[in-house]
Formats: sequence, structure tokens, C-alpha cells
Amino acid sequence: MSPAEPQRKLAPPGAARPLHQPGPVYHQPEPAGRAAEPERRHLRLVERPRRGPVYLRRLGLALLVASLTLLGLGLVALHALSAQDQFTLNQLQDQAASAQAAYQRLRLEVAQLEAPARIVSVAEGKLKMVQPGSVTYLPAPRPAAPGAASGPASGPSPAGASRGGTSGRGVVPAPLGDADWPAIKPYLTPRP
Amino acid sequence: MLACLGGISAKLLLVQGVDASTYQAHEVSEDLEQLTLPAERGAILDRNGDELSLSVPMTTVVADPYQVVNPRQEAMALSSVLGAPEPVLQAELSAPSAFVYLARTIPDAPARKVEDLLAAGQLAGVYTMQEPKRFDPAGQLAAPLIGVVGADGQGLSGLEYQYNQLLQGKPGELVQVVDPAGNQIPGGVRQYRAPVPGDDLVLSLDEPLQYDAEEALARAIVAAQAKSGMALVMDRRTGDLLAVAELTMPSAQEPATLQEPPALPVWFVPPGSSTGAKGGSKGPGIAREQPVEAPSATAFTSVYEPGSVQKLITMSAALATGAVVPSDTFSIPDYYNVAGTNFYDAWAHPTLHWTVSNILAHSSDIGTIEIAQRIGMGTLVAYLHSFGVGEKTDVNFPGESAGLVPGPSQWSGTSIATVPIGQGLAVTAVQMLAAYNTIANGGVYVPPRLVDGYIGPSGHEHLFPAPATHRVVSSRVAQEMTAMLEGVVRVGTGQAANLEPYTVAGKTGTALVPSPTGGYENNNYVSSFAGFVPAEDPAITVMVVVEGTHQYGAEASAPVFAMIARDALQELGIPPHRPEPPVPGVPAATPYGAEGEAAGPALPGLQGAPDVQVEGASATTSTSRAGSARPAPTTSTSQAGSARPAAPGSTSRAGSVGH
Repeated sequence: MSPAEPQRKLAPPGAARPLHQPGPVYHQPEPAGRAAEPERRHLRLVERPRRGPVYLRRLGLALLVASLTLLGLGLVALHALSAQDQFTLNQLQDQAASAQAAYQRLRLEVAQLEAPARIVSVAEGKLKMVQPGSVTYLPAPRPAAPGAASGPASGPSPAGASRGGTSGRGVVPAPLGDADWPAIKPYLTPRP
Repeated sequence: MLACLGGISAKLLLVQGVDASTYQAHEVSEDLEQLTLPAERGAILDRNGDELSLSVPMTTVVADPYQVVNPRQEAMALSSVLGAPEPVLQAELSAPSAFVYLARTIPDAPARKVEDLLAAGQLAGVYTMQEPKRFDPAGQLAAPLIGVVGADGQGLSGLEYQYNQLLQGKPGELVQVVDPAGNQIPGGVRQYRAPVPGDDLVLSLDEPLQYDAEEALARAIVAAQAKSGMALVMDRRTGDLLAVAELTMPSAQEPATLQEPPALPVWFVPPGSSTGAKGGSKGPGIAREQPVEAPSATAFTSVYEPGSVQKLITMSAALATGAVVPSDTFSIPDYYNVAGTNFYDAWAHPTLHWTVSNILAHSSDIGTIEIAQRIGMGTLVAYLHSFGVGEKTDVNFPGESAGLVPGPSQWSGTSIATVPIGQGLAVTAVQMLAAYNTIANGGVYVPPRLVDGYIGPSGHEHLFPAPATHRVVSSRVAQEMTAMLEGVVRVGTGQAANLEPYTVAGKTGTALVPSPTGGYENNNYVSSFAGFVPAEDPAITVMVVVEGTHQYGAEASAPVFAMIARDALQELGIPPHRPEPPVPGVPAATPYGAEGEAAGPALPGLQGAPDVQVEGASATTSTSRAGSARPAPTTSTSQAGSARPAAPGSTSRAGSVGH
């Protein structure tokens, strides 16, 4: 311990302190100037060396070069990205135009395939179909009144249209409403 | 050294400072590309959405001769691909120009070969671009109606011309900076305005029905050895024209472009031809016997004297004015003199005593003249206009004719004899079709329609508003006329149009063709038949006109009417039926003439006549256009509704012959 270190008296651990006994006295350390300067050679402040203008110029130049390099690289990257996007855009536009053209071509092809002249040509030329000489019309039975019971109805019968059987030439049992519709419908729909 | 540096500096100052704007403009002119992007032209569709005409982008081969390195070598390479003569291509590739077309809108196969050559670097200075080309998928079907589109995408005739604004859309624009090779420079100026495609036009035509009509008409023209013909089918209720066939035999006067293979894949042999050889062929591969599409829409643009089909209007006017009733009897002499001119029927006969129905059924000219004299010329002309004759239709087709109806200043003493039988006036086929459709509609004129609407970019169809209708004759008169027209087909001149078990109401017509030197040509007729079917509840009205034939309408046109009507009824799914007693609980069919209608100008016979009970209903449904659609007939005479004069029986022999 150095001589300048304040002394204090401490009660031994575990000893009870008397009630009126004054507490420990702490001495303020004396100012450094008053005491003798200790030798502190091994702990001293070291001033940083002052940077000269040459150093600053070099640093600025380096920063400028780095910035310009980064800027250049950024511009190149941006340009590359732009070019890439432009290329992609052109590709997409070409694809869209091609798809639209393909759609129009397919639309034309479908229309040509559906043209009546082609259908007739294929039917008559390739499939050896012939135009009908005449058309036979088969009258459908009259519709039954709602709730009416089945009964005889006048009128000719379409061949095979009645499942109830004919009771005589041109006389068929009245159809039973919707039940007979599948048999009647083929005679009412237009030809394909 | 200093002088050199000074010179360089001076030039630099000159380029970058003094003349900077000049050089900048020069750079812009060379690098800035401004393209007009053509809009896709809309398609023309039939009523079912089937394409009758549409545009497809095709490849066009162009060149910049200044960039062509070896014109001869490139011409050799392109000659076989494009099918063009090598000297022609070489001349184009050597032209002192920066842009030449080598081939426009070529098919896909040669386009791919050109692309391969370009990819191989064998075609310096040659480029490809896309151009729309107009196609007609159904061939020449309805070509006179659809019209033609020019190489620049502008409609030149027909509906392509009439609806060009709707179809062509709005072109776009692209402004961009490109390199010498034409590639866009990234980051450069780029302005893009997308083109707006044109709308699709929806017609009232039915493509299969159009084909059926053209095929039947072509057979009729061949069979009648006629020069041309027309066949029209109209939806009775809406006035939609379902088919408008216009064919002609090819002649040397027609443009070569029209002498293309027709849409009909059939070969016709005219009657009396022993070999059926292609004799008289006018064009490459086109036989004289094969009809082709007419050069224009003659149903709208061409007028002719209608002949006896016009008697429908004469009879309707007489019935509406109360001048006659169907059971009135007239004395029909062998010939009949009007203003010093003798008129004859088409066949010699003793004096007959026929009812009005019989006069119409057997198409007696003399009987019709006698009836017309009861109503007078003024009333007849007023009814002609009310039936749509002498007026352009609402279709307003390019070049459409209004017909020729003589005005009061043009009337002569014989006008009252010629006009009632369909001579001395001229109509278009669509006008006469609409007149018959008026009777089919219970006396209500429904304007013909050729375009139903358009389909916009959103894909939704926008229908054009239906034109205003107007009443011409009462429903009772229409019913009487229908019964009389049924008689024409049942027992009269129109029996060839019989279509059992359907009921047909119609009328034949045979008109002499005027001679350029005056008078009429012998043995040269315009033969026609017009009518509607089924008569008891009409669905369609059909008109067939065969021109330049020696056959009468009963022979040349009535059978074609039956063929077309049969196909149309099957196509539309209309079964034959007769009116039957109502079944309890089953709704009855809507009687024709009971639909809403707009009130038209009052005609003699419609005012205060006892058979106009429908008029009250029509007045309540009139629209703002009613009354203005047709001019008020101001020429009606005092004969309307007056007491009927005695049937004329006096005759005097003089003058010429009339049919």
C-alpha cells in the first residue's frame, strides 16, 4: 500500500459494533499536486500522428475512384438489367403477337373447316353421300291436354313414334305428355 | 502540334456547340424509328357467329436495297421460295430505294423458308414484317354483300366499306431508338400506344341457308339458261335477311378478279347440252355454265320491272280501300283498251268471269287493270310507297337504289294499266321481298335488316335497335291476301312452289326486259316468285328472281322458291302444321299481325274502314320514328272507299301488247 492511501479501521468481521461508537472515518484522498508525483512512465497518453494533406488527397482520390467504380458497375448492372428487361419485353411482345396470329390462323382454319361448301364437298366427294331426292314429313301427334286421361286421338302417326301401338291406320293413342317427348322430338328437330 | 490541337478543338466546338442541333436532328432521324401499328380489322360474322370474313397477320418480305450485298445471289435464293421471277427480284433488290416490297402476305410455308434464309445470313438487307390479310373462309359465299378490302386494309365496297369505321379499329404507334440493324436500343426513347382492334360485325345472314340459297339459285340459273338471278330469305317477324344470293353467269365484261372459282362445289350441265363440255369458258377454269357471284349486291343496287308479283300491292290497295272484295266478279275480255292501247293476258282466252281471287291466282293482267282503275293511280302509288317501293330500305346499303316509281308528272294514260301489273316502274328485289313480308306480318311493314349488331373488345354483342315498323293494310286485308296467295299456289300459276305439307302463299311474276332501243325484248324475261311459308303462321318470306331467261316465273323461279323454303324451314326447325282446334290448357300460337307495331301514315282504306280494329293497338305502340319513316301519301284519290263502279266491259282494239 502506498503511503498516500487513506487508512481506515474496520471492525473485524462478525464483531458487534457498540451503539455509540462512531463509524469508520474515511479520509479524502489528497490532491495529486500535493503529493509527490509518482512515476507513471508505463501509462501515458499517446497523441495520434497528425495526417497531412497528402494523405487526405490520397484518401479522397481512393474514395472517388471507388465511388466511380461502384457507380460504373451500378450503371453497367442497371443497363444490363434494363437490357434484360427490354429483351424479355420484346420476347413477350413477340410471343403475344405470335399467339394472336396463331389464334387468328386457327380461327380461320376452323371457319374454313366449317364452311358449308367444304362440308358438302367432303360429304359428296369423300363420303359418297347424296342429296335427298325428296323429304318426307311425319306429323307429330297432338299434345295432350294437361291432366287428360289417355285416349284415342286423331291424326296420322309418325312411324315408330308411338309406344302405345296403333289402333288403326292414322289413329294413335294420345301421348302421355312428356313421356312421349323423346319419341316425338326426333321428328321436330332440324336436320344436323 | 498546337495547330493540330487547335483544329481539333475548333471542330469539336463546331460539332458539339454551334451545329449541335443539326447533328442531333440527323441522329434522331437515323436512329429514331416511328412505326404505325395497324389495328386488327374486325371479322364479319353470320348470325350464328361463323366467320364470313376475317383478317390474319401474314408475313411480308421487304428489302432495303442499299444494304443488299449481292442482289443476284439473293434474288436466286428468294426466287424459288417466293415463286417470283429471278430478274424481277434482282431488279427490285437493286432499286435506288431504301424500301421495296418483295412479296406481300405470303403463306406460312414460304415465310418459314425466308426466315431460315435470314437466320443463315444469306439475305443481307432483306427483312420480314407482319401485315394483315383478309380471308373469306366460306369462299365467295355472299361476296357481293360482304365487299372487298384493299391492300391497305380499307373497305372498298359492300359492308366492308359501309362499316369500315367500325371494323378497322384505331392504329397504334411505336416510337423507339434502334440500332442500324433495327434492334431497339435499351434505355432509349420508347413510346408505345397500343392499337385498338376493330369490332366484329354480326350480320343477319345464316351461313348454311346462304349456301342453300346460292346452290338452288345456281341450279335455277343453269336450268333456265338465264343471265343472272337473286334469291332472298327473310325472317318474317324481325325482317332479318337470312340469305341474299346474287349470282350471274360470267361474261367477258366482268373484271378478271370476279372470275374466281365460286363457292359452289357443284358442276351444272344446262338443259339441252349433249356433252356438258366446258364450252364457252371465259376465264381460266371457269365454264360458261357455272354461275359466279355477282359483281355487286344486285338485290339492293339493281332495279328491274317486277311484273306480276307487283299485283300483290295492287290487290292489297284495292281490298284496303274497299274497292273490291275477294269474291267480286269481273268480266275479263280477250284484250282491254286503255288510253288507246290494247292490253292482253299472257294467253288468249274468251271473255271470262272471274273473281278477284281467280284474277290473282291466274295472274290476269286485264282483270288487274280493271281492279286498279277502281282505286286510281294516286292511291296505288301511295300504297306502293307505303309497301316500301320507291324508298331506300333502312339497310342503306352502299349504292342502294330507291327504285323508280313514276310521279304524277310522269303518269301517262296507260300508267294505270302498266303500273298495276308491274311494268312501267322499277323495284329492287329487297323492296318486293319486304312488300310480301308485310302481308305475312298481318299488314305491318317490317324494314329489312342485314346487320344485327357488333361485338366490341369486351366480347359482348351490341345489337342495333330494330327499325320502326308501320302498318300498311289491316290484318283483315292481310288475311284475305294470304288466302288469295294460297290460291295462287294451290290452283293458280304458282303450283310449282307447292311444298306439301307446308302451306305456301305466293305469287309468280314475269316481266319483259326493256330494250335499249325502246320497247321490250321478245322472249327475254325477268321471272320471279315471292311468297311466305307456312301460310297460316309465316316464318319466312322468300323471293326468287331469275333474269334474262325465256321461261316464265312459274317455271324458272317457283320451283327454286320451294327448294329454298324447304331447306330454310328445316334449318330453322319449323314443322309443317295446320291450324287445329285449340286444346284446353295448351297455349295457342301467336296469330300473325298481333305483334306490337308502329303507326304509319294513314292510307286510304285504313282511315275509318270497318276492318281496322287493330289500329287502336298500333297507335298505342307507335314510336318516335313512326310517321317520319315514310312520306305521307298525299296523292290519294277520291275513289278510296267509294262505291264500286260497274265492271268495265268495253273494249277497243289498238296499239301494243302488254304482259
